[in-house]
Amino acid sequence: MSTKVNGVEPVEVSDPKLLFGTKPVKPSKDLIKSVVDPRIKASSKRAKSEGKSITDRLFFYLFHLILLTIYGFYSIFRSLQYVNNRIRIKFLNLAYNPSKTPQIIRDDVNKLSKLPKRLSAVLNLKPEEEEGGGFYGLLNDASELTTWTLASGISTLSIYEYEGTLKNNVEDLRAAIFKKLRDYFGPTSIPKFVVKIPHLNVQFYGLNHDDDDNYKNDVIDIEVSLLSVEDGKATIVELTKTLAELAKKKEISSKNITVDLIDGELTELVGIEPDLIILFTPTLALQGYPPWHIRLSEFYWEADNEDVTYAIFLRALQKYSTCKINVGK
Amino acid sequence: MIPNFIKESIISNPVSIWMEQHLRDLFVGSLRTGQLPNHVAFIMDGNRRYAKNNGIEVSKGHEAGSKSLVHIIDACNQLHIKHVSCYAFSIENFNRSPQEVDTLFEILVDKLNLFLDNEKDYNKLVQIRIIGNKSYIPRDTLIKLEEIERLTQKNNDLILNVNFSYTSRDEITHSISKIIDKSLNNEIITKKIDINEFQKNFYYPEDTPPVDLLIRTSGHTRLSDYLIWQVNDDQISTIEFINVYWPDFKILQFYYLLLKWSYNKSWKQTREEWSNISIFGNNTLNESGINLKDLPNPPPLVSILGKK
Repeated sequence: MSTKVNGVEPVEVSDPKLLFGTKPVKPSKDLIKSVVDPRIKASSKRAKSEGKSITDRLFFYLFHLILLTIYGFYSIFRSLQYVNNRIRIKFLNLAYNPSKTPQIIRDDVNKLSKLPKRLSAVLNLKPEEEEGGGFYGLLNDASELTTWTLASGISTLSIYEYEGTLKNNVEDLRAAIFKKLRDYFGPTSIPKFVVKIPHLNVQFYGLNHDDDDNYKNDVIDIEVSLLSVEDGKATIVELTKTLAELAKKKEISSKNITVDLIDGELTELVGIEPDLIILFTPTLALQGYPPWHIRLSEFYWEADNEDVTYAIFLRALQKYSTCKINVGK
Repeated sequence: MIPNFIKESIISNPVSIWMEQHLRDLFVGSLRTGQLPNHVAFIMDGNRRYAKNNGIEVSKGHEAGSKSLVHIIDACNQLHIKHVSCYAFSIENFNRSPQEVDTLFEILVDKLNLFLDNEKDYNKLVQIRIIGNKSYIPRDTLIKLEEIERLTQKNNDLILNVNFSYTSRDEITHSISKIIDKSLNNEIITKKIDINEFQKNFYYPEDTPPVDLLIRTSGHTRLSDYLIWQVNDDQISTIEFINVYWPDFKILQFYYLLLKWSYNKSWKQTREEWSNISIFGNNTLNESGINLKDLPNPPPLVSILGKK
């Protein structure tokens, strides 16, 4: 057994082909040295790779420093933009105020060329400590929105709230809508409304008219559907399971599965897709909104706005009135 | 107002070209050291309005749009963004005039052929995947597209998902139909169907990462039946609507959107990290809640009444 020189086994050079291959090469000084002592080659290689990695690392830090500087400038720009947006929204809120008067709302929308047939809104349950936040803040937002929608002449509204807080507190919502309609329209001519929870397939008429056939059979002025995250992807998956079960019972075949069939089923389960979705959020945050229902819907949101205000509602309708509707053309 | 000839002389000046190139390299190098999306999708809208505004034929508008796409793919490649999707042709687009549909098919095949050329080594870098309902594509076009897919299938640097004859609703329906077939063949248990299983049966292959950023040009604020399943969760995807026609969409604007995305992502991550650091310990609730018995023992309970 060969003895190690400084911890490295010496290489036995019996056939140069083993070392240099079959091609004739002119061994360099380093190569010869490395054959004599493999540590030389190894160390020089490591030094090279270390040098390279140090250069790479230096370049990385240099470029990252530039990126952080750009981030710094962008954050200043963003802060200024935020202040500008907030001031603009404050002015808009001062300029547009319905003053609890349906006539003002109707006058505002009558200047528009068209209105959406079905409106949807994304609302958020804000923290209790915020102004207009908490559960009662959400109730107020939802009921006010219902009143504006009705006063503008739209009779279908769906409200999406991620967690389903409104769905779980329908009685409170009915009372809030009733109170708001009374404030706007007066105690003698409160419009008729129905609150629907498509997921449970239940309907609640007016404040307490669930057993009143006259109320039910009369023309309902506004339908309010309550949606949450469970009406989204989870509902489509549940539908798939049901269809798979039916297929096993040979009641349906995969060849019968068409876009129209799924659309019909999801319309039953969630509702018809809205024409306009107003997001009362600072960014375009869809928060798991039913995907099937955002096919062609127009989105409207005001950057850096978190409040449910009439100005945003009206601006959304104004934007919709200028939209060109051209499916695929 | 600067006269056009001065503008052109500034743009075509070798010094300006040199500066632009180096600034671009600097920006790309910097962006690459931060967070970047893995998957960017585009709704390339506005070719026809661009043509109308510039007084040129519609086909020239589409031609300009396809050039814009090539520039963007080039930028994605430099930035090491691995997945790019583009809405090339919707199923609804079959409603357009047969002449325009034919032109669009020709341009698409022509431009995809570019990725088979040696120029810029695209033929070794870009993998083309045709994503959509192939049963609607005319046979001669489909043969050409499948040939391009086959020739590029081993490339792995950038995957270009061309959404052709595609709508999202059709993709969802396709997934339902496929799952039903699998269920009938006992390949899956019906009760175990979940969102992940659902997504596995899309037109997109399973190895496609979630869409991090969707960009739509031309100012329309709707999705037009594109990736509606993939982008409906703002925790995963960001949607950007910008008010320029697709042929006018410049690389600098793309860099700006990436910078914005990267900044927001880093800021969000930093905020999450900070929220976990508290001088009072980590007081956030985990999914299973806090078990009373897991809390450390309190000090001894002593009554003022003595041992009673």
